[in-house]
Amino acid sequence: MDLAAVYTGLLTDRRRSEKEHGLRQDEPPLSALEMLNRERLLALLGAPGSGKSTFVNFVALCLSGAGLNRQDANLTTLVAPLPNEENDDAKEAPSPQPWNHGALVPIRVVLREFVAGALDPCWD
Amino acid sequence: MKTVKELRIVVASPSDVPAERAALDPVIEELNRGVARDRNIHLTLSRWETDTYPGFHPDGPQGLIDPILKVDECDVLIGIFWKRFGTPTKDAGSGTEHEFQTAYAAWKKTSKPHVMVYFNQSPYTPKSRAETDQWGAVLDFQERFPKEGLWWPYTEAEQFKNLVRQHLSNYLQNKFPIGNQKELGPSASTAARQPPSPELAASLRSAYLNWMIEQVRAIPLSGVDRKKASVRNRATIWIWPRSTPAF
Repeated sequence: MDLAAVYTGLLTDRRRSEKEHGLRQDEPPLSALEMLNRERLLALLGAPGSGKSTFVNFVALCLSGAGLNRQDANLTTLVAPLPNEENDDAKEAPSPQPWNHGALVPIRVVLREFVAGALDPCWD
Repeated sequence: MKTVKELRIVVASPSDVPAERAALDPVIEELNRGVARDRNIHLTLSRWETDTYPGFHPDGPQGLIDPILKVDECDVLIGIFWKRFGTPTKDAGSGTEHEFQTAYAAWKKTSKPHVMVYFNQSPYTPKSRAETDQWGAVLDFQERFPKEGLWWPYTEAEQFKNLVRQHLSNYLQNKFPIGNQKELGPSASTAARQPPSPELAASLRSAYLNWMIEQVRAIPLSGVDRKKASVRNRATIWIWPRSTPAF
């Protein structure tokens, strides 16, 4: 399956106030992208299969595509609005997610592969 | 005086992939300005439509093409297939298969040429029996592909262009690594620390980003044979709706 064609945004349990933890009904949770946009260093925690790796892959795909001026994956794809399931009848178009860092060059390190490589005696 | 080594690339394909064949010219031109130039290598592209000429031969058109393309003496053979296999020759199912088998036989003897085969996996619906037969021949060839080889799937000409750029870059970097520092001495070591030219930097960046896209673009499905898998866009997938009877 082509990732850019099927990906949908990942939500975190953070809110804009940043003072309270845990979800509140009156304030929507921040997306993983918005958190990544805010933070210089970010650790994304979640249960297996919750979409952490897929989110990282999607960000890497969009930033790489933006660097190559691709039509199928770019910054527009990256900031695509989150689906608003609760308010499908809303007249206003949903806002794109924030991204203020342009087409950065992504460096993706898969830790299990990194560890396996670091133990390889060929590195001598 | 700098000696430039010439590497000859031959492209072999049936007639239904003209965009992919055309994409090779700019890719090779780009590599000649970057990765190849840094290794004092000049890549040239040989193909029947520009290198051969009209005539007759007892073995048919392929007999005219062979002595000019000299597939068994080239450095890289790029084979491309989609839905056509091509016209049978004296000894093979098509001219492209003949050229592939020639290259494969030469590789078994001399480890040369390097053979890179690509299969377009984009959706296709045959419109006649003849088209079905042609497509079937491609699939047969894919199944008979030599066990020593690895072919590569793609779905559109632009993706092919990015892939072949990346693969030729990898081939050059692996086959012709830039100097061993101990052998080349301190001046080479100093040169290696120089920043790359803007063209090389752009080429490396482009190759890296294309590589990154290939790493992350697909969602792996467990239980799927990667060689037989193809990438499908959501717009091209049709899942037949089924209703569940109410209890």
